[in-house]
Amino acid sequence: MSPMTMASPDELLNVAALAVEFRTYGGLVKAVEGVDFDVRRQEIVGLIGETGCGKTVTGYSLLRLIRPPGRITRGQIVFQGRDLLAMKESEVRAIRGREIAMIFQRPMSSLNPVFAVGTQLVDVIRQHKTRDKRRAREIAIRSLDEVALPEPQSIMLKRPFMLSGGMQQRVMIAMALACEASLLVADEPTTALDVSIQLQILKLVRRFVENGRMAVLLISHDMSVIGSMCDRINVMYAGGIVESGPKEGIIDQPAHPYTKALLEAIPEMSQGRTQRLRAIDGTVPSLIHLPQGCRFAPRCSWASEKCTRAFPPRVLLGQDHYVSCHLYGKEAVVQVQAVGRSSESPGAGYPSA
Amino acid sequence: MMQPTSVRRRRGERTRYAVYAVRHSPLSLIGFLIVLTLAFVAILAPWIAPYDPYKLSIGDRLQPPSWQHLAGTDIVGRDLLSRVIYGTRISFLVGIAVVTVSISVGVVLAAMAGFYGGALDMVLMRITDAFLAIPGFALAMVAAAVFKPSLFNMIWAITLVSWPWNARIIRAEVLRLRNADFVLVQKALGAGSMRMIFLHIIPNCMGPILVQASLQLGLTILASAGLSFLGLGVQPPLPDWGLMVAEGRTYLPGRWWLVTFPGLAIFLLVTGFLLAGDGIRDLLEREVS
Amino acid sequence: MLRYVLLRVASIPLVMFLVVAIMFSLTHIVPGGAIQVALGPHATIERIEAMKAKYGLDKPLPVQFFTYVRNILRGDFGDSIVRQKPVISEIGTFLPASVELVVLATVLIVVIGVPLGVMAATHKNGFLDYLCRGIAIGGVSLPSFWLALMLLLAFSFGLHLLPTGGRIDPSVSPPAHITGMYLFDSLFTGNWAAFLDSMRHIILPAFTLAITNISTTARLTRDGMLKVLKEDFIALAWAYGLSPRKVYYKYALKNAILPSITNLGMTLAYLLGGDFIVETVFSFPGLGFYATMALLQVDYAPIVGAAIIISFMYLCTNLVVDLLYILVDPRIKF
Repeated sequence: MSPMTMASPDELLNVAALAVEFRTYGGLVKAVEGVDFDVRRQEIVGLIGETGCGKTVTGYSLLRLIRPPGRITRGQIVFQGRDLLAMKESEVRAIRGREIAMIFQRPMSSLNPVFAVGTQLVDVIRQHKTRDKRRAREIAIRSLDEVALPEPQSIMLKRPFMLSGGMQQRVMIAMALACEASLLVADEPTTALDVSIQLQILKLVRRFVENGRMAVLLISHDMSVIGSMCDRINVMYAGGIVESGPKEGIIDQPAHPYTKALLEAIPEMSQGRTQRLRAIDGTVPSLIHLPQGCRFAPRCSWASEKCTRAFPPRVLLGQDHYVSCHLYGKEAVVQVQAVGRSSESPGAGYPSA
Repeated sequence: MMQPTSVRRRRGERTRYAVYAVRHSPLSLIGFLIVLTLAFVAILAPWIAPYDPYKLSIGDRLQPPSWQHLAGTDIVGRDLLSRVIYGTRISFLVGIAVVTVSISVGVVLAAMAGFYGGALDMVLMRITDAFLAIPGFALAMVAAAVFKPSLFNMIWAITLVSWPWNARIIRAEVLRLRNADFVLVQKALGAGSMRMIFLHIIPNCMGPILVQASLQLGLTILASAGLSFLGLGVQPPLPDWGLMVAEGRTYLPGRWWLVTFPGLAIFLLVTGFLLAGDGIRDLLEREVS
Repeated sequence: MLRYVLLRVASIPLVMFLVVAIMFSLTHIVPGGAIQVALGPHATIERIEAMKAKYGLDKPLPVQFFTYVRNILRGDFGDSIVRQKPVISEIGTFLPASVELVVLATVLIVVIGVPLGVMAATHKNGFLDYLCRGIAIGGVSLPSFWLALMLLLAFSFGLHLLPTGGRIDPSVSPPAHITGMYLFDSLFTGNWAAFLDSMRHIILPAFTLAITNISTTARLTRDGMLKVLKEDFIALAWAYGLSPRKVYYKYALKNAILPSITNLGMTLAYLLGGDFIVETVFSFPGLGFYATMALLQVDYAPIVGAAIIISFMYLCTNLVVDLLYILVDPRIKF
């Protein structure tokens, strides 16, 4: 269970010790290993990490959409008190869309090209809310209106390719709203959109969260999106969560070296053209042959011998702020030389426990 | 879309792919086995066949399958099993001859058409279309009939019908590869057109060519059986399977073995080639994904 | 898009011209032929020459070709040298039977092949899938004449359920001639007896023709389905908890069926062509039967005429199929 012990009535989703693996010709890919996080009502929780870190797989697992050769091997996904992984397929199907809705990265390919948008909306609404076609149509049009799409009636008749990317994404959000889902899993919702549209979509989503319509699990690799939208952030690396906490904690006082590097990699407007972009050296480890100790150790500037040997335990740093790193906690390894880009030692700002 | 990459490298990994693919596709393995087995039968025919396929023995004619004649005998007493075994040779001969010629012609024409484009391409494509419009079998029939029906002429007839298919498929591949990065690299290095076509583009078409070859082997054997059945192909007394079915047809329904065994042989060999072709195609698709 | 349609329609005459040229070249490479057959082995040189002159076979090739093309455009495909009758009228009698056969075969292919393919895809790697793939391979590998004979053995000789050949029993009079297609005509005129009897005669040849392509259609549908099932919009459908039946048969199938439709064009070509063997084995009096008999008598005019007609039908059907394609998926632009 998440260290936040008992489930508060506020808690919508609680993921504990989730593990997902894929069987490929090259070997067993451990896409997700021991992931814990939770989402509460009326909040936006972020899941950030590089491509391939397992964040999308995590998102899919929530709806039990992992198919062979993938398999959820361990863990609990407790949604509103019920463990989704223990349910029958038919029960999960009732939850999909109705309680937990998902929007995908590429809105242009998420809608069936041979059907009108309205048909798809109505299909979904009839599955979950009402069998009546007319009623379903009304709900659909109303949802399209809520996401600020002009002339919802005519949009209903349009094929997906007739709409722009931003409009398509709005349709996706409308679908989630129409079903009155309490949790929206948004997998890179703005990555495929123009920057100007991105902002609009994000604002739209935030509005619905603030109105109490839904909570959001926002999955992205884009720190600026995560940073501006989320109330709490989970940083994911190579299949595991390395740091999690409230936004201010993570952004202002990042603890894990990976988090620090991610933040530093964001180019600033004031940077000036001659300054190099700061990338993180090295590459993500193979998920088939994971290192024994900390997975980030090979790329970490503060790595020590202990880091390569032992998997770092999860340590509580402060207000709901956790980190999995040997630099913190009772058995912290203190690094004197900081061979990194930051002049501060990473542990600064935190009381040693 | 991903850039097509040149296949001229990475051998170790490809073997691993092959093993994985084959393990997951037992049908194609069966196909390969069938083809290999029958190839051996064809090569070793004189040693395997119990009797001389041409030897008449009127006294033993129209015998049902027995321990002496496992597949029975035909109208003039020839052992059916031996004839079926020797028929394997004819089938392989026809198949290999047709496929070799028609693929060579198709590849060269299509590679040039696809690569050079323009008027050459247009003309070739129209001609190909015309050939494709004529029902294949009809064309083969006409061609076979025009020149006196014989094994040799039948091979030409079927080749005439087959080359457009190859040309079309290869051309599509060439078009796909023509603008690939590695081709442009070669161009930048100063490679001449001919060199590029033969050394770089054609080897990378090998995959579809192989698939097409094996599928066509199967279809050729079917076509040759059909033509021989109608009397437009192999002539007696050669032990061609199609011909044997035609010869046996008049003795239906009583002497079922005359028709059943040659037909089964055709079915078996064609199945083998088609399965193998499928397997190769699956392998290629797995590589891409 | 209109441009594309016009372009396609315009290309047909061009391709047909090439077709005629090819057929003409083939049949005139070896001179004589049918004349020998018609006049017999003891014909004198004079009689042969006279016959040649009568049919214009003594003129130089280009002239013959020009005359031939001109005649075709007038609807004159020459005469059957053996029977001394105009080819075009003979084709007229035999054509409806073939059309009927091919149409019935196509219906069988779609009605059996598509659901088979869908089931194979939805039960991927299950028993049904392997069965479908097995039938797919088996279907194509079966030599049509052999299959025809086996079916005859089983149903005609063995079970005595179905007749051994022909189109209709001599004791049953054919229905009134509307289209020349017995099934259609008898249904239209309410001639139940004729309908049943025609159906009994046509079902085996139709099935034989269909089997090869049922497998191909099933396999194409299966492949199309599997490909479509990997798409994002299918993942979305699952993510919203739509029932499997809806996802497979509504969301996936409509996308997956497109390659099958293209294949339909090629299927028709095969059917129109493969007709020859099946009709011969079943003695079904269609175009293929007509052409095969003519060929064995080395009578060229009929077979060339038949081949040209069939090619034309093939090109037209292909055009229709391509247009259908556009209708189904409006994303396709030209």
